[in-house]
Amino acid sequence: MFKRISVIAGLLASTATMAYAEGDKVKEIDFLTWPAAKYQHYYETSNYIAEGWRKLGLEVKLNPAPFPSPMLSMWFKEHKFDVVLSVLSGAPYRMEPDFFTNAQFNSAHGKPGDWNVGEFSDSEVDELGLKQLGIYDTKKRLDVVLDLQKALYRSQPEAIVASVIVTTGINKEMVEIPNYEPAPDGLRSIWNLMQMKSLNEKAVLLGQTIDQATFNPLAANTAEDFINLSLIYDRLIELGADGKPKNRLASAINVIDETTIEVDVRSGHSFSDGKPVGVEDVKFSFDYFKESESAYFKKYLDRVESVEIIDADTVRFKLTKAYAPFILHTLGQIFILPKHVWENVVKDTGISKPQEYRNQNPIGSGPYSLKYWKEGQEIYLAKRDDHFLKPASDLLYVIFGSAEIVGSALKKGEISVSLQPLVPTVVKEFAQEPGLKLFRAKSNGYIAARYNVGREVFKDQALRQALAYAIPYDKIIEEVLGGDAVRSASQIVPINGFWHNSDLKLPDYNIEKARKMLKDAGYTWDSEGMLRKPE
Amino acid sequence: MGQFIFKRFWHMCITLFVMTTLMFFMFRLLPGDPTATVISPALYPKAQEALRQQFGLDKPLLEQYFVYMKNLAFFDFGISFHTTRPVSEAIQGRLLNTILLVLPSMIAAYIMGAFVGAMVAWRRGSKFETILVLVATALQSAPVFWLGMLAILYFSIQLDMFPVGHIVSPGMFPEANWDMYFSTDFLHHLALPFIVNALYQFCFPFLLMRSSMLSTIGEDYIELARMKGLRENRILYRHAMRNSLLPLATTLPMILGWAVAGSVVIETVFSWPGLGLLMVEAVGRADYPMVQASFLLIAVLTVVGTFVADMLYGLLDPRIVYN
Repeated sequence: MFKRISVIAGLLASTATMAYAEGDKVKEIDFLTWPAAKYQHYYETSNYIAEGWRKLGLEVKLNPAPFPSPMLSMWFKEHKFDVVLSVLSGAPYRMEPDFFTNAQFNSAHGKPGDWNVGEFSDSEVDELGLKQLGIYDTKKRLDVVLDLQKALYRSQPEAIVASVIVTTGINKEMVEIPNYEPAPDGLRSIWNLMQMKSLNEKAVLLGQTIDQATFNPLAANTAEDFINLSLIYDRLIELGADGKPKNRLASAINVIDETTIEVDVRSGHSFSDGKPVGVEDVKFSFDYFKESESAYFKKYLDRVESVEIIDADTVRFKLTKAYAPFILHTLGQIFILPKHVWENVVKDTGISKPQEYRNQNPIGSGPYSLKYWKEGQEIYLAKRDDHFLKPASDLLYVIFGSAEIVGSALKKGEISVSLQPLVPTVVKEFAQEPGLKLFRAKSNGYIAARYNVGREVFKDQALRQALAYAIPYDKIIEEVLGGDAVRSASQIVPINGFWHNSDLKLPDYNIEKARKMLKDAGYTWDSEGMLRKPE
Repeated sequence: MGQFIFKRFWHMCITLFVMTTLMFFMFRLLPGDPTATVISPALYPKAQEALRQQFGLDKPLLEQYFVYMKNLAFFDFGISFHTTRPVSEAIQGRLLNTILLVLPSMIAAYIMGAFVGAMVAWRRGSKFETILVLVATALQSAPVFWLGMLAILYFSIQLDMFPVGHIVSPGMFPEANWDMYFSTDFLHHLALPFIVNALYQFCFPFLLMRSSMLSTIGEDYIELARMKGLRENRILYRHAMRNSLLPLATTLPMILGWAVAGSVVIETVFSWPGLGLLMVEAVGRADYPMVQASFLLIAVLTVVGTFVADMLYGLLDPRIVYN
């Protein structure tokens, strides 16, 4: 170790003597990160990044803040950091290419509370970002999205570290999944849940640590809540495991022009109370979500001007502006509610808005219906044999107090499926167990060091570009993330195969190259080896 | 006497008021904006604003405080940030589960502690005493989650004697009614957390009883009993133990609040759907109304417990006079 330091010191000293004119010293970098005790792998990731950057003569100070509070607030609202270890989780709707590109880095989204937390601004990114929003033809849109990724690669608003692999497992003696779909959300994907077939007369027992917050679709706003709601309520479109939209309650989508989309609704299907699903329910649902200003859905409905019923099977959506993510983000997220249940909910129950309705006995047209929910303990979803998606078995979610125990319960056969990610040490042991089968799901989210361009240090693109070569990627993946991670040069990671730009070259860990890039950009090093800005 | 009760009662009210106020401001004075955890950054800024209004978080802190206190006076603990349903409902559903785990194990721990403590003191200086005191101290210093984990590892996983957690087997009792609590399945699930909690709680009454006994044994009336020619057992149970029980009896109500707070750990380890687990979840989500209400409940239990203990003292020991 000592030897390595002296070699580096020597290197730094030699370059320092070459420097003739010196600019100001680059300010100490305030690196907002996760608390080491509870999020050790995130903290260590930032520690390894800082170590790499220090080799370039930068001063980096890790600033671990308790999560969620105040870290989330410093990250998303106050933007109180020079760089933050950004961990954005994957989710099916985030396969829509807009989410990790334009939504994150368009300069219009830099206000507190919005996604562009680094107040990043680049005219090419803004332009391409807006352009792809208006193209419905996926092939044509793809070209723009590929260019957008290239522009982001060039401007480096963040250094992408890796996207994690989540390992979950099933007990083969209790459940089978005939054709596992490699979806980014793994066993939680609706396509895999629907296939789970219990090998005994009981329901499939799924272990996890998170309970449902609510079964009211208008009040829900967490990913976990939406998964179960999507089993009870149908949507017009469902995202396929490959990231492409699949018709669900819709039988056809016709883009008439930029702002007019017609949807044919499947006929002959019914809600769990036996009443038929019709175009009235579809129109009602979109209007209702919009009128009630449901917090989560608001931004996806903003561009919907009107919903009209054309005939017994067709609904027409008029948009205020062209919006390509409409198909996945809007049609793929709004739940179709039974009009006969919801239209009088507020009046009959005396609540002030629909979000307050408990919806203890949700009536939907989805492949499962809620048999019972014992808060903090169990959620029982009974399959509906008359549903077109043909669910294989009943699902019984079992809520555990700690993640460690879920793995033990799986091994022991007290549950059939662990939805809880298994920890790396357990994964090795479980892989040997003949009775278990493990699934590795590549997330579509990723870990990155996101720069705050709104502050002085990272305003310079050349510095950001160079820093990408000063991160020990392989070491982080091997030593910190247990080998369970995939690298990506683009924000749209490889699992999102259709939209991912595979032409971008992964930056390697190469301190010499990074130093050269900095030198070419006019940076110098002082006698102590610290980085100084171009004059 | 009446005046004393009134004065103690009055003190109790002030303590509770100060506690409630402290708790309210403590959570809100943490650095950073607490609403950032509740109101997801994934939401549209306008929607975030709407949610803030819904929970009253847009009002000045002092106003929020007055609203909170006013509602509290009517036993309204507010709406959970997370579930958007009344907090009191969630707590009601969980409280019974906690009581069913904590109370029996506390009582078992106290009965066991009293007897074993008495025996040990009676045989002062024996090997039996050295070993037990050592074991008890070790048990008390060991983190209870560690004890719980070990118990699960050995009894549930290795020996397959007990389930790894929960209150009943999943799917056994779809109806939320009393049947569940009268089933052998429930007892089977209760057994392991009960034993672990009882063992953990055992140390305190055990050591207390031992030292109380030691001072009793030196009393003249024990000597007198011996001189009367009474049998050893009779002296132990009728004279020594009975008179040493006083500190134990008075700590029991006091310790109740503490035990409920302690259930946080045991419930998390055993996935026991009680108040403790609810608190852990609520703290993790910064669900302040839920956290405050559960903390308040523990504070009330402790303060009321202390009050009851004070009253009990006089009742059990007629020599104590209130003035």
